[in-house]
Amino acid sequence: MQRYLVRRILQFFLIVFIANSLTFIVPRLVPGDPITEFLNNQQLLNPNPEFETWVADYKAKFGTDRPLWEQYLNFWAGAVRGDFGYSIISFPQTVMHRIGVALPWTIGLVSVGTLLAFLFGTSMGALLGWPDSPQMFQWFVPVLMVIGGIPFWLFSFVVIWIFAVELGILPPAGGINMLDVLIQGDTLQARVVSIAQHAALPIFVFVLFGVGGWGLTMRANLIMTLGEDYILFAHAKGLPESRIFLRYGVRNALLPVLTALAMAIGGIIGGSTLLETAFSYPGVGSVVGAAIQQRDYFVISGAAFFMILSSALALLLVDLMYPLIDPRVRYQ
Amino acid sequence: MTKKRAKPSKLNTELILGAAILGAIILFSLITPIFIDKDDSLLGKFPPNVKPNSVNLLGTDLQGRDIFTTLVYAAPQTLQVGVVTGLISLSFGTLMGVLAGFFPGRIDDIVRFISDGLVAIPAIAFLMVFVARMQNPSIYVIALSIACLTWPGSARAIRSQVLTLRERQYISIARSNGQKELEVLFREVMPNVFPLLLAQFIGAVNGGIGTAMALEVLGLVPTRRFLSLGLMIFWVQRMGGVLRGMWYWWGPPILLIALIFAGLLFLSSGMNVFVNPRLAGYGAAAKRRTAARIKEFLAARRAAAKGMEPPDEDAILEVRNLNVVYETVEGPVKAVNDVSFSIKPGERMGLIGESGSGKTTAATAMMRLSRPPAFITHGQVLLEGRDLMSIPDEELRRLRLKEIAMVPQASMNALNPVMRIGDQIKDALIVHEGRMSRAAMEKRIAEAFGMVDLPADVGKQYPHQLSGGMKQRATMAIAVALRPKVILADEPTSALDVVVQKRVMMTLMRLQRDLGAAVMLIGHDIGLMTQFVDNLGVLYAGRLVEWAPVEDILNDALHPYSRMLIESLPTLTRKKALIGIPGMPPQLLNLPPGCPFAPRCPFVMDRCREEMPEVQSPQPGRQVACHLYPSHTALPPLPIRDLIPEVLAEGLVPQVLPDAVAGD
Amino acid sequence: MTKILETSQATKIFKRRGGGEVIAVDNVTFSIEEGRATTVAIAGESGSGKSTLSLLLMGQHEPTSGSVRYMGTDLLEMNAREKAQLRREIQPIYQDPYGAYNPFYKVDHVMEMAISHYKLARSKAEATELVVDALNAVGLRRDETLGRYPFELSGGQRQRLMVARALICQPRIIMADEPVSMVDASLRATILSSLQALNRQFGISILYITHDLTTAYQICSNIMIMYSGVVVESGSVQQVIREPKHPYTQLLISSIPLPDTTTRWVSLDSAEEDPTMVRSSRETTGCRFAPRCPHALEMCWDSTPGLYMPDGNRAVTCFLYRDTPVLESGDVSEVFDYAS
Repeated sequence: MQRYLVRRILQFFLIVFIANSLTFIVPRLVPGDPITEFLNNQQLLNPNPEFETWVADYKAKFGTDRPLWEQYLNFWAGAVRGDFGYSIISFPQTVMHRIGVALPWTIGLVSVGTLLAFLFGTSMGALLGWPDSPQMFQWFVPVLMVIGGIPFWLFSFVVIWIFAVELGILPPAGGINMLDVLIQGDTLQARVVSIAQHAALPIFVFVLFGVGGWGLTMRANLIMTLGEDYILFAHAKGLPESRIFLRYGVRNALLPVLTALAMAIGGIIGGSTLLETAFSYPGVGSVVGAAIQQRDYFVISGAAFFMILSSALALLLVDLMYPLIDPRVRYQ
Repeated sequence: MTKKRAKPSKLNTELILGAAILGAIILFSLITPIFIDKDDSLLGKFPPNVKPNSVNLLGTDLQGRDIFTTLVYAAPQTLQVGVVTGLISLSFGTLMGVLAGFFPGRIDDIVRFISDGLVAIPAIAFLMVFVARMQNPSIYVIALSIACLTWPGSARAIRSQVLTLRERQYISIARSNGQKELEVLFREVMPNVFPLLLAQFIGAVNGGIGTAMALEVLGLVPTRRFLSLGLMIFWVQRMGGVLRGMWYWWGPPILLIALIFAGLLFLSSGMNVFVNPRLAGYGAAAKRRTAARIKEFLAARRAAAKGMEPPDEDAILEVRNLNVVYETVEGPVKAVNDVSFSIKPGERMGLIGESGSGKTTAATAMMRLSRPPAFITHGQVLLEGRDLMSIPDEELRRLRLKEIAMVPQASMNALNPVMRIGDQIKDALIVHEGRMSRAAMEKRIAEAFGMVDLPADVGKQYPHQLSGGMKQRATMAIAVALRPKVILADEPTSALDVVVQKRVMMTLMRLQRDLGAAVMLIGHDIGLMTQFVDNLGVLYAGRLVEWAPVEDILNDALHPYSRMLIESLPTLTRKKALIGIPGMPPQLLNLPPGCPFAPRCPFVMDRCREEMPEVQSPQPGRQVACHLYPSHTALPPLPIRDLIPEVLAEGLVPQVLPDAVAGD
Repeated sequence: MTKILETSQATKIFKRRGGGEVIAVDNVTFSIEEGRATTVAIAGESGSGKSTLSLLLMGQHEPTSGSVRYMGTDLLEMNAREKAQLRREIQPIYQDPYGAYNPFYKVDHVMEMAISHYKLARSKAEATELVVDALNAVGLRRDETLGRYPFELSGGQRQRLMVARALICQPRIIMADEPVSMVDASLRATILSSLQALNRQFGISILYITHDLTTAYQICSNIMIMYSGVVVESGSVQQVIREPKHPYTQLLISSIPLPDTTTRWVSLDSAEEDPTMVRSSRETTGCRFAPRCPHALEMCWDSTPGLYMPDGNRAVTCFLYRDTPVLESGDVSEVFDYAS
């Protein structure tokens, strides 16, 4: 048990190390560098006579004038302290500052969205997989299939158009309307209401179009489980339907879905980029989206670090959690 | 036990639907350009932001480009990127997967290490960082980068497929046939990987489109030289097209993307069913009939129950004209066909049959546990006079386990793997006897384990912690915990070694005696039946062809099938010619009229092929369904010489025949 | 006399995951001799080591110690040509008649492959003749088997086709691993008869690996009973099965449910009376069977019994017979009966 724990945690660090090393080194093998590119663009708008020194200055400021191995060591030295350098565009701001401000928004939005989608989806999947549920439920299956197969963020546009543009009942963008809040005297209640109003649409997209995947997985698992011999034997024992459904069917079918949930939570930071961009939500996704459009390279790579970290954490969590919920799997 | 390869299935609706959607999109984008002046439409010569009208079918965007034309040119590009990405990714994946799967050891370890590592890297994170550094990357460079990160998915699937395939016996046979390793790989393994490759390809295209589109929407792909649905979305976002209410700008590309994904989805799920027809189940039509049919049957049974013949006073369990049908895609299969028999209290009865004879189906139906695609279509099962087929669900539920219990087939899997064994007895006790004190409960559980010679602490364990024999006993402990009057034991020892089998059977024998319960043992081993049962029923193709005391069947079976089955058994008492039953076991689908054994029967008459034989009783206490009776009183000797292929008989038969004939 | 296939003190030890080891085959010596074609059953329950022994014999496992030789050459020292010869001359028949065929091809494929790779025919006609002859030898008709897909044939037909395929390769030995355990009872007899016919008509030795002593008795002349990797008793089937001497063989045979109403099992009053119960939880370093043995002596627990010969064609690994002659060579095939 203890050996397993130590080995698994070492493995976690190894994954984080290798994945980040690759994302650090491989892009730097491509010719050209983001700082020269950025300054080239600046030069077009606003010519600087001493271009060469300008570039050299900038490179020194961001540390890219050093040999690659030194940059690499500096990267890790900084990463351990949570320092990913500066943003190119909004210079004195650090990458960590930009991501740190956005992180709570993303975690709040996506964890609520994922959990709600998971709850609705699995309950729906359980009902769809249960042979005694009403026959008309079966019509949901192809609907869920199509919804589950299409990238969910595409629906953001439809939702914004209907609820924000045409009906005008919810805000189309942003995370909080400080003006509104200040007008109402900056109370906690006013803040919560505003945040909830802004989160409503993205979460709605998340849930409405995220349930497909969860529902279908749960349904498939439940159908597999209900075909097992122990379900037949449970019926032969004279147990009531409801007990077989919950204790033998849903419980057993849920185990693999929980793994998927942990993995989904691990994908929180990376998974919501497109959704947040569509809603201009002030989370990491929007920061990344903006950084990409402005070619703010260090912000992008800082965000990538967090994506790798969170998905590796999720893998670790799954491995540590699974033996607790499934007695067949032991720490080894 | 028998695995049958289903016949290749027909094209299914999903496959056709998916192909139709994608085909329509491709066709549309091939044909329409003929009628459109590309330069005019794409260079932004129109006034910006025009609503849909007769000139601009879908209006124009903010740069004055015709949206309809943009769409026509963007859709095939999006598909193309997806297909290219999918192809590259799949080629990598196939190469790596096949290498790793077919050459285990070092190569496998290396490939797995790389692919496990890549899976741990979130693709989008790496791509963001990588693509952001490139200046004006070509879309194909991007496709290549995506493929570099996504191949492990298909490599894993292909590796595990190849790994399974290379363990198949036909691979060993090929080696014994002198085939070299590479030949084995290409001639024996690869043809069977191909269907998986098709399915994987669609998945890879799907992933390719999705990832490429995400990069496009984020603005990582140069916008000047390239046109795609993802870039249309990018521009909508950049220019605030949604807030301006320009639904005709973002609506069509989103609809088209949704259609592409839906098409791919149908294609892949249709492909899965096409490749693996078992996934199709027994057909949606039969499924819809399920609930209705069960209700209908119950109603009919309840109506019939009023006019039913009085129950046999001597019997504890009476089965009358039981019929079970399997609904399959090819049509209904009569798995149990008009089976009737009765069991007296405390009797040990056996039901023997080969695979496909319907023995397990019958036992499951007797407790009304049949699950679709199996349907009980007719019959009564009287337990002390109550018809289990027509009583209300709730009443039936209360009788299960308490009055009639089952030790299921493959009882290795009869226990819930994630529940402690004690809890699996406990929930049955609570349901049937209500809540009781902790001490009383523990006493009952210990008692149940005691009955099958298991220590009480087994209750704290999970099924996987027990050996096969112990699991069998634990299942049996649950079955007898409420001291039922009837126990249906379906091949309770099929997976066990003989010594353990005997031990389990001795336990069952003692339990049966102590409880005074009637036991119906279902199986295929005549030896085991002989050791255990009083009366034996012989099933063939869902028909009960003979029913008699076991000694009578063993010594002079009346039905040709029973006789030949016994004759084919090797014994330990003397070496004899082994006489098999010629021909094939019956195919239950489209069973011809007449006796199902007719094609294999040495005594076959014209009548046998036309008319199903009725159950006869040529000797008291015995039943047989065969046209030889009642004109005969016993079965004539088997024409042994005709039954052994000549070549096999050579050198064998003269030596043993007199003995074998003398035994008849 | 040359030995075709021989093992000499072959032992196979598997390392268990998480420490410990399992002795799957323990010091087995036996041989099959040229010109003395025989049918030998290697019998035992699951975990007895019979399958591991068969894999050692076919060169698919390396022995941990001891050796396996084919035509006098150690399997580990064979060159490519000798390996190819071994592969051809020892032909396997496996348990699963469904898995033995590639579902992609018609059943003819396996025959064609054997003929083309071993260059057995010079023309198409000659090849067909070979196939038809082999089919006849196992009692199959050409028109009811060739040109079909595996799923169109019964388990019995498929398994006999496998026997025919093995015959086409012109082997010296056929290694049949539980060839009938997945086939319905009514179809078993013809498969077993076809194996027997190969032995009698073509002088091919049959190694029949099985858990089923009744079929072993019917088709084999000699038998080796294995328990936990050790050959506990071997000799002619008439002696070993009709009058078993080793307590394990006795237990095994008494546990077989016979289709004979005169020897019915009787219901016991308590589990203790059951002869199949494990008797002792004591650890043994000697005879592996001691904990379950009703006759265990003190010496059984710490010393390993040798092979004793209580009567003619039989050797027993049991101290109960320590007063009878010892089989010095340890070669259990020395007691085989080649006459019947």
